[in-house]
Amino acid sequence: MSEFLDVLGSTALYATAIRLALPILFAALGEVFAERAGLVNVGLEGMMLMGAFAGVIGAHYTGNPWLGALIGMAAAVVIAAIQAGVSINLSGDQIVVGIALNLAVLGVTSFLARAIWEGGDVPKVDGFSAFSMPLLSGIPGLGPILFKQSALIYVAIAAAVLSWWVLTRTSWGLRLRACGEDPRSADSLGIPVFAYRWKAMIICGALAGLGGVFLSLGQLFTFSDNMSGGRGFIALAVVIIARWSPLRALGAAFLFGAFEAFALRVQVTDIDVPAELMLALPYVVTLLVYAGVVGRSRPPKSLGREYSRG
Amino acid sequence: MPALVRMNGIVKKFGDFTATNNVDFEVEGGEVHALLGENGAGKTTLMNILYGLCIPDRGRIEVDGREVELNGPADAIEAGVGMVHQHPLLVDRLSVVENLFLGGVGNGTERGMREAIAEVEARFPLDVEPGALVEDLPMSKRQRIEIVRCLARGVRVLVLDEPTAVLTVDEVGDLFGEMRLLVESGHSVIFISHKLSEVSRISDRVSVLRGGRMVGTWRTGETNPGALAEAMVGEPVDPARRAGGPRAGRARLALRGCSVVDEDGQDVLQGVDLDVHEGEIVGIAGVEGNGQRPLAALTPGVQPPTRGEILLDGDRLPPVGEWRRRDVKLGRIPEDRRKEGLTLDAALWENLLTGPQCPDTGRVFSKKKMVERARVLLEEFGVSPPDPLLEAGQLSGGNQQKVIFARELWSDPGVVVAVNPTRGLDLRAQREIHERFLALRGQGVAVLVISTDLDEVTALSDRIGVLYAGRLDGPHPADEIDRKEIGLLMAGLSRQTEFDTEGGGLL
Amino acid sequence: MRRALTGRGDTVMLIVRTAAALVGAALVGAIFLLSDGVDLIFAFEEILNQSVGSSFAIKNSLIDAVPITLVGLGVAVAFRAGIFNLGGEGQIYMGALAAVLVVLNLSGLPGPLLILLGLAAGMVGGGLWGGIAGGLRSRLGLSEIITTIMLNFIAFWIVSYLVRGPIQDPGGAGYPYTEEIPAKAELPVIGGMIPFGAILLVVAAAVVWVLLERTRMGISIKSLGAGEAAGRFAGLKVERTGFNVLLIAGLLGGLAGAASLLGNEGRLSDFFSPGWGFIGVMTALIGRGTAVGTLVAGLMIGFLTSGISGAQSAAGIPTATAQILLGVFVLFLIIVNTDIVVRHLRRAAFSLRRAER
Repeated sequence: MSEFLDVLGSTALYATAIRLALPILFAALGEVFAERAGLVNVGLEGMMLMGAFAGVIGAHYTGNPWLGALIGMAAAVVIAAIQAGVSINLSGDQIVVGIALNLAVLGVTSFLARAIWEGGDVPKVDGFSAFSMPLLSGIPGLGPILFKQSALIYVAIAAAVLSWWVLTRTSWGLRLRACGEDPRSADSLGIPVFAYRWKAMIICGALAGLGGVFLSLGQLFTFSDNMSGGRGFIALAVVIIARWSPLRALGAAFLFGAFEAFALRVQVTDIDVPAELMLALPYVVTLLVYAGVVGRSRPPKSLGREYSRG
Repeated sequence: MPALVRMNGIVKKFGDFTATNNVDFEVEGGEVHALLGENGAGKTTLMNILYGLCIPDRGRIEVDGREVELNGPADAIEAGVGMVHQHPLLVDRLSVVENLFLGGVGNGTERGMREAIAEVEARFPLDVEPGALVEDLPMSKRQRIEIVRCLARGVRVLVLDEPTAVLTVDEVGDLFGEMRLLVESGHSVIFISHKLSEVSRISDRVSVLRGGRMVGTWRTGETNPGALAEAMVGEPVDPARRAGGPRAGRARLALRGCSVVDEDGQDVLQGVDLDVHEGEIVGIAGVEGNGQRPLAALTPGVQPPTRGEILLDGDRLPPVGEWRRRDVKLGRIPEDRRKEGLTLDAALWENLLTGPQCPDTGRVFSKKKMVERARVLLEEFGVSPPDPLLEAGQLSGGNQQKVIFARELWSDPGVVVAVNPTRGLDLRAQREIHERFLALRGQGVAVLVISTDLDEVTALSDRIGVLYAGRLDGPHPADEIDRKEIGLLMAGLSRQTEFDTEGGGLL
Repeated sequence: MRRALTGRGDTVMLIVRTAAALVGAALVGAIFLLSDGVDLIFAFEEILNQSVGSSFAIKNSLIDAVPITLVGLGVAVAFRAGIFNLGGEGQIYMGALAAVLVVLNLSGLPGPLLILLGLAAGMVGGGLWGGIAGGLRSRLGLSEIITTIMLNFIAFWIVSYLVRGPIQDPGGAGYPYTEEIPAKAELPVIGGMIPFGAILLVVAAAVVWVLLERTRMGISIKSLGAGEAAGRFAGLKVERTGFNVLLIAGLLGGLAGAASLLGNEGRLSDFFSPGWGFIGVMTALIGRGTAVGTLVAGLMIGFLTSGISGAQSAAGIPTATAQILLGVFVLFLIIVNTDIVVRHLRRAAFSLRRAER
């Protein structure tokens, strides 16, 4: 019992939680934009994976993790563009496209990894290692949690706040939300629904790609097959749990990260709980919270519904 | 006063259907001008043309003396014409302020919007929480927001499309007060309606459209409801022959005191009592939006009544999901054949198998047998081509309707309920469907037809009821009620409305 | 509103499409093979050989095809209702788990009975997993896309835990797998060429076909997939149908797991399924959600993967390149099948016409 409390009290737990939550947070933020505009993006997983892969490629060939991150985001945006083109302009089934893109990205990344490197052994690259912020990391308690992270955490928090501000406080965000609630009214008000949905999807791709970049460049510093591990789908649940709010997504992603971190840390201690069952915990929790929240959260009214003029 | 809006020779066709046929229409400045007519008369089309939502095939439009070309609402607003729809085009989940902003009020800045609104509110108070979500507001307030939105953008002519349909009695009074205010400040209001009482109350002049033609324009004070009703419904195009009188037997379908309250809390159907007997056709007339939909949803047990009960042969009608199990024989012809009636992607034989009226096929069926049965059925009902393997979406509207009939009548139900059965069909298909109804009647089936097409109702029915504002008047035996009386009822007045003998006559 | 695959698409086109993907993959793959210094002709010959060239080869190909196609059939049934079962992986694991538990614990029973019980248990296990997702969907409205994926992970970790502890092979030197199943519980191979699993597969495909094409339930499923409105009007119990298809999908996924366990793997470990669940999704997509299409697609993919892995050692193809070949094939398969979504162009045009009225 006291060991549990020890774990719960350790700053390392929360620091790890944040680290684990970041990729999901980025993906969830991107998805918030897409869903607020009325699009369901099941291909989130594929975008993350593509970001992870292209990020490593970029970091490897340029030697600079920031450039690698940009390349990763760009690659994910390409995937997002395909999703956007097919589901918006061609009125394709949003979900089928997403599933197909996931499968395709899985195949392409595995294949390219082997094509470029012998046996698919992707070398380690310079990534976003954690660093201690001077002074601030000395703050007892919060210090090591918040200020001994890699640079991307600050990007993440900034992204969440910026997303919230854009969506709720700008006229651009207002119009985007109108597209997701009532595209017919929005159209009659002169809002170009297609254009806004495209932009939302591109933003989603960029953010999801960044999340993937963090998976590879921020944690493992390399790429391995299917390293996104279903996080794209967890991000989908996070968006619902967060009730489509970027700020609440911070909390929901952190929740998931915390459970994952807890499971990992418990393995290191003497606590006699089977590691694997603990690793299942984050998924169980996600399911439970999803079930608990679903009655009370209202998605954008036209989410997932095609819109075509006439 | 000189004409503020002048429309000349407006012609608009949709395929074979002529919505407006050489219509002339004028609105003076500072007046409330009512546009009266039944469904399909062309009122909405005409106003959509004025608002730029629809491009006429021929004709010209002048606003304030200048000819204008309206290619969209933006052009119309610029020309000074604004429109408030029955269900305001606002984004429900956003706030009032956000909607106004999206509506282009002000010059794109928040301050500009506030100033524009303030200016309007000086003469026309909005009286609403700016931060309130539109979906929490009653319809009357939503309409006001749209009106303010139009005014803030400088329109001079406001078109109100059947605004009172979604308002309570008090709210109607408020709306009329607002209309007076608008007119006093020099605006004009075009008031689309089918409700004579309101038209008499608020309008200065009234124009009547029928079948796409402008019948006439009168000063409201110089005419009377009876004449207007007659102008509205006119004479039937093709008086149908009905064989003899009804030989009505016992009541098969009975509605007792049925009321329906919709999700907004509105009473959409109130205390409806209705009997449909063996071997008779009961027709329910009325302008769309007066309760037809809820009534149509009641009878198949899709939507149970909030109060009251529905009896089929004396037993309560179970929900439609249990019909197959309980062997309920009620055939339904739905309003929307494409969405509710058929699965367009499925083959005809598969469509025929959907629905509780299809006789039992057992767990696993043989396709050959089913296809054969389907073919026989399709031929019997005159579906062309009677190929059971065709997809439903490949048939013409008339044939699709026949397939629905075939499916619903397969097990020889004793009661049939149909809603707008010939909407969108050409004359020949209409006639075939009508003949089928008469045949059913001859076989002793109890038939209920709910239709917004008055010609159809008068052609088919042994007894006629009229729906207005959720209440049913009648049904009365068809030979005891004439067309004009039906028109009065459809427009909300009683049959006994006295003629104002001082009025009458065309302008 | 989601649109389901309406099953419009004929087998000929399916074969043509898959063949085209094959050709494309072969061309691209040739580039890699050449750079590996592999004799191209020999390599392709060997791939062919290893996939259909002998009864041994055919047996292996079928063994590879069975799990992906069984899962695919389940996914296909759900697709027709417009429901997306991404939980194949989890259902496979739960099915295999149930089967291995039954077989190892009732090992005193005669062989055929063991097999029967094992397969049945597999269906129950997978059915349970599918049913959970179905129940969550019909009772709480939770999207099956999210729930089935979550359940995948949960199933994986449950199995992972169990094979490291409670059901670990005591004589297995600490490796994370169970004991081997007794030889009498193994699925037989008919004539040295047809694994019993393949027979199960054909039977399953037939059952699914009959379900979709010749029963009322099939019509209900397809109505649901075509749009709820007509279904509701006709009294279709929407929630019940949704639950049913997920249950059926789970049953088939569990059967896939059990059949693989009893027919090939012999023991349960936590790397039991190399992504069968997702390949199954692909076979259903390619097969347009029809029983026949899914069967054909699954067989083709199974034969190809078997051929490639078989040819690896024989023709000196490095493992990595073999993976590349497969990956490219998958990619091309998706590309040649994009008309699943682009087909909706016709639908969009259809609605434009309607709008003019």
